[in-house]
Parts: sequence; structure tokens; C-alpha cells
Amino acid sequence: MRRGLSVTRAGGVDRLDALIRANASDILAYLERRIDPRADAADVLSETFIVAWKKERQAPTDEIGGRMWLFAIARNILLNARRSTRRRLAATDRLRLELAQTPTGRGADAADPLDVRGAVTQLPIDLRELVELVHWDGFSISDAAQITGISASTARSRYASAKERLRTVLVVQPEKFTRR
Amino acid sequence: MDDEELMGRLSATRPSIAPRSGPLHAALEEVVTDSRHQRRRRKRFVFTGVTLSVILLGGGSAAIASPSVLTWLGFVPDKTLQHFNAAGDFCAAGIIIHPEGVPVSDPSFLAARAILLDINFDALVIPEDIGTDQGYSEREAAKIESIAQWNAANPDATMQPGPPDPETDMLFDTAYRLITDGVTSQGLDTSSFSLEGAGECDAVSP
Repeated sequence: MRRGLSVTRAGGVDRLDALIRANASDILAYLERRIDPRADAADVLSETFIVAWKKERQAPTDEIGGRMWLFAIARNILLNARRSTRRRLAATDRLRLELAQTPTGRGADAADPLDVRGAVTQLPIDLRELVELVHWDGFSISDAAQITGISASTARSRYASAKERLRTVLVVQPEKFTRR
Repeated sequence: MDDEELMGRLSATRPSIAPRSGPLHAALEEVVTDSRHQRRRRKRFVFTGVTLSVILLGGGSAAIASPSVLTWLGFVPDKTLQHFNAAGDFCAAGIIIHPEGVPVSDPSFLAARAILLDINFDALVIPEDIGTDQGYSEREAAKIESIAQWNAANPDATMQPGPPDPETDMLFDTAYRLITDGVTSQGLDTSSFSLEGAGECDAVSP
């Protein structure tokens, strides 16, 4: 019996390691798009993985569920970051340096005649987050629901509401969102 | 504006990310690998200034060189404590409780926070096994050694160890134990929070 448990435990450790490695770059991208300066994403990423290891026994065993679980941890750490001390580890220094070598994405992108991003920014936060998860990170609406801890039907309804608001704002008052 | 146009424009708002070059992948690998080792360390000291040390309990990580203590003091502690140490120095400390990868509305985090807020540090009795643990004096020595190493490596920004304050360290540990016991007894998750404490002692003028 003990041997069996030991094998299961080792399997769990290997599975989480594989899960983290498979999703590390995507989670970093998720954080890069939301953190300014971009280099600070390295610290939140590191915190995300450390917390994931701490919660190892709660990690879903399937790949998709595990991916959503990791993103949910990253999201919560990001949301709570305001309250935390900046904890910096030596291991993140190199990644910070790499991230700092390229300009922050928001200012480096090609201009859109309409500043759609400005319109998205003005959405209520719960709608905005859904739009960003779907259009920035490529999640389906049900995946985004899982990450944000809401039901899929609520997510669909909020996403539809967000699209309606954006369509109205961008069609009726395009000049307000023109990039200066 | 039709749906397709809106979708296209929304996707075009996606901020760019750093190119996934070889050096970036190597740096990422370093962070991933390091995270496995960090999880085994439940408690660590962090040096933030001349006399102040930060203790992290149950947390995922801690800085080796945190920014100014003012960053930490920018937050109102959830709980404060004060006492006179064995040398008669006045010691004051504060604790904040952090959610660990869960929303602030998480039941386990809320239960832990409620227990922390309910602790009366003036009346808190340090359990015997904590009070007699030699590890506190060893950690105090390790802290002084770490500061010495820092000073050797940073001669232009040296730090001086503050007066020893093992009692605050013991009180933090006692509080952490109370909280984890309370959270466990409610069938909740003890991995959903961490305590971060900072304190300093000042010699009292005669």
C-alpha cells in the first residue's frame, strides 16, 4: 500500500512539473500583457509556480483542467499583487532582464485607426477581463469562465454584453477613441 | 460594424510579448526549476533595511533583497504586536495575511484572516516546544551571518543587524500554528494563505 501511494505521489510531482513546463510560456505571455513594466511579470510568474507546487495535491489530473488551474492561480496572484510586498528571487533576475530588453507591448503595437483598446479599457472590469482572455490569450469563453471562477452561461452572457457595448461605443462615437 | 470586424479589431488590441528567444527560454527554465525548490521552505527571513527583518510563514517565496521597507509599511498591517525584549529594547511588529493563489473571497483565506484578527497578542502564550526551540537563536545567528555576507558584497550599502528579537519570531510562529489549526479544524485549506511579518527593535533611552 505504501509503495502504491509513493508511486502515485511521484506521478503527481512529475505531472505537475510537466504541466508547468507545458504552460510556462503562455502564462508568462498572459502576465506580460497585463503587467507594466513587463519585467515584473517574471516575479508574478515565479510566485505562480511556487504556489502551484504548494497546492500540488489540488492540481487537476487532466491537461486542460490543469492548464485552467494554473491560469486561475496566476490571475489570483495578479489580482492580489497590489496588497503584496514585492518578493523577488534571484532566479527571476535573468528572466526580468530578458523581458526588460523589449519595449512594453502596449506602446509598441501597430496603430489601429480606432483605439479599440481604449474602449475595452472602459468596460466594467468583469466584462473587460473576459474580452481580454478571449481575444488576447485565445481562450474559449468556457475556459475564460473557468479561470475567472464564474459559470459558462454567465460568461457567455457577459461576453455578449461586452460585445454589444463595444459595438455601440465604437460605431456611435468613434472619434472619442481615435488614437492621438 | 459586423461581428467579424469587431472580432478582428479586438484581437488586434493584443499587446505584444517579448520574443521567445533562446536566452528567454533559458531564463524561463531557470524560474520553473527554481520553483520546485522554493516550495520546500516554509519559513524564511528577508532583510529589508538596517534593523528590520521580514518573516514569511507559509508563503511561496520571499525576496533575497526586498525593496525598501517603506514598500511594506505602505500597507496597514492586519495585526500589530509589541513588547520589550530580554535586553529591554522596545520591539514592534506587524503582520499582513496574503491569499496564496486564491481570490480574497476564498473561504479558507477568510477563515485564516478571521482567526488572525481575533488573536490577542498581549495574552498569547508561546507553546513550550516553540519557546524552547534552539532554532530561533540559530536563525538569529544565520541572520547576522547573512547580513555580514551582504555587507562584504555591498560595501557601499551596508546593513547593521538590529537587536535580536526571537520573541516576535516565536509569536509569529505561535500565531501561524493557531491559524493553521483553526483552518484545518474547519475542514479548510491551509495552503490558501501566508503570513508576512515585519518588525524592529529600538533601544530605549535611559
